[in-house]
Amino acid sequence: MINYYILFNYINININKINGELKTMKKNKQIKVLLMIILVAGSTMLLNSCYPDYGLTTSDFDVVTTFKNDATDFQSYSTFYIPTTIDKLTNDGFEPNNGPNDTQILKEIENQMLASGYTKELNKLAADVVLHVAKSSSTTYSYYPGYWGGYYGWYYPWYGGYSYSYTTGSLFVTIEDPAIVSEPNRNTGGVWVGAANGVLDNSSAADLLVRTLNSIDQMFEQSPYLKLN
Amino acid sequence: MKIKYIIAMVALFVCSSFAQELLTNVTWNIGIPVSKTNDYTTDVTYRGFTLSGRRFLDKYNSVGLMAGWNIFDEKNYDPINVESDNGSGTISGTQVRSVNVFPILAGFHHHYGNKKDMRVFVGLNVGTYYILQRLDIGVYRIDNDNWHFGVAPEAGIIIPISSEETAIHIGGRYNYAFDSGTALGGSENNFYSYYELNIGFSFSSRWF
Repeated sequence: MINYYILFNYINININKINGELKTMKKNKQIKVLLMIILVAGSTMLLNSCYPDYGLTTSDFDVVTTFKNDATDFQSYSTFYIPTTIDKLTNDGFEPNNGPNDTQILKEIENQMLASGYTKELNKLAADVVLHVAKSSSTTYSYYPGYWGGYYGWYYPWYGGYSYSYTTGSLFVTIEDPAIVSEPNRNTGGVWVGAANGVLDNSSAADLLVRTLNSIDQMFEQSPYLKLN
Repeated sequence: MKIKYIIAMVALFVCSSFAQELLTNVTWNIGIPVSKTNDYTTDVTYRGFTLSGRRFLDKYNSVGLMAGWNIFDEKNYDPINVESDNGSGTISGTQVRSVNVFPILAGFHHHYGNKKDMRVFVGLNVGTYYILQRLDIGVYRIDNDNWHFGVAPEAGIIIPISSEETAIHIGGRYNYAFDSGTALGGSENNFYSYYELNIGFSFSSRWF
């Protein structure tokens, strides 16, 4: 039988002879290990902060989307009708709903239409375009599973999982052209839609109103084609 | 007896193989996005690292492997334009854009100078890049990931410190990951390129 221990030592001794003094090697190895630990630990710390919070506030989660029918010539319109209530979007469609800020929201939309050069028409049937304003809210529930944290002296702490939820609200402003409404073609006459979406949590009613009004302003700002010459 | 000689031969072969220098590099990376990568995230990133090993074939030439991670990200407010068959639109809001790049490359390097002295090297790495492009806007997150074939020419300098086995490693690398899949938004023009400044340590060894 081969004595593997002797063979291993034979190889070891010869390698040591090739590389120099054993003690020097151990010292060098310690330096290497130390430097590697510093670099890897440093990199780990840097990468752990890979996704900083960017100083985001609740209003940073506000998103405004606008979409238009490219075939529409907005310059052909001059009058608009705006309702006095905001509908609430439900699973079954729309239902009238009066919220505390609805009057100011509708007024802001009206002001933006007037500033864009349109004239308000009180008779819905006589208006070139009809505005439809709706809102909705939804709550999302989620669960964070937790993780084993970094090494703290003598143990790896467990950061337990937790559940969380957030509620978002959306406001939809639609400009509809009654002349192109066609039920057989399922055309509701919509030529432009603006949607604002944001987080409702952690905001006072006053703050929420300011954010909503800002979002309405943004809808019109990013839709310069609505402006009449 | 025969098996004893075979084992001894294998052991000697392994020993002689180990006698070739092995260079292990650990570097912190500074990344500078260019071209299309720069269109998505413009900020210079200070979050990245590379681990690599080079086995010398002779005194000057080596082959090796490297793996790393670079994160490019920024907060952005540029409106996003979208188009469909019969309409077009705009999405605005605070965006957090990020690109995570994980290169896994094989490389060939030529080194100038002796092991005990300062050594300059040039090399070419070839392999694959796993790239995760991410867009956070509002409460929404959109991910897009692809594996890319890529190349990374590099050059650098290795400066021995304290002993001939430990050295400071300073290098520069240009990374180019060729088109693969589609980018966020559907564009097939989905290549990535960026420069890297690599700062770290090299460890010379015959033991690994």
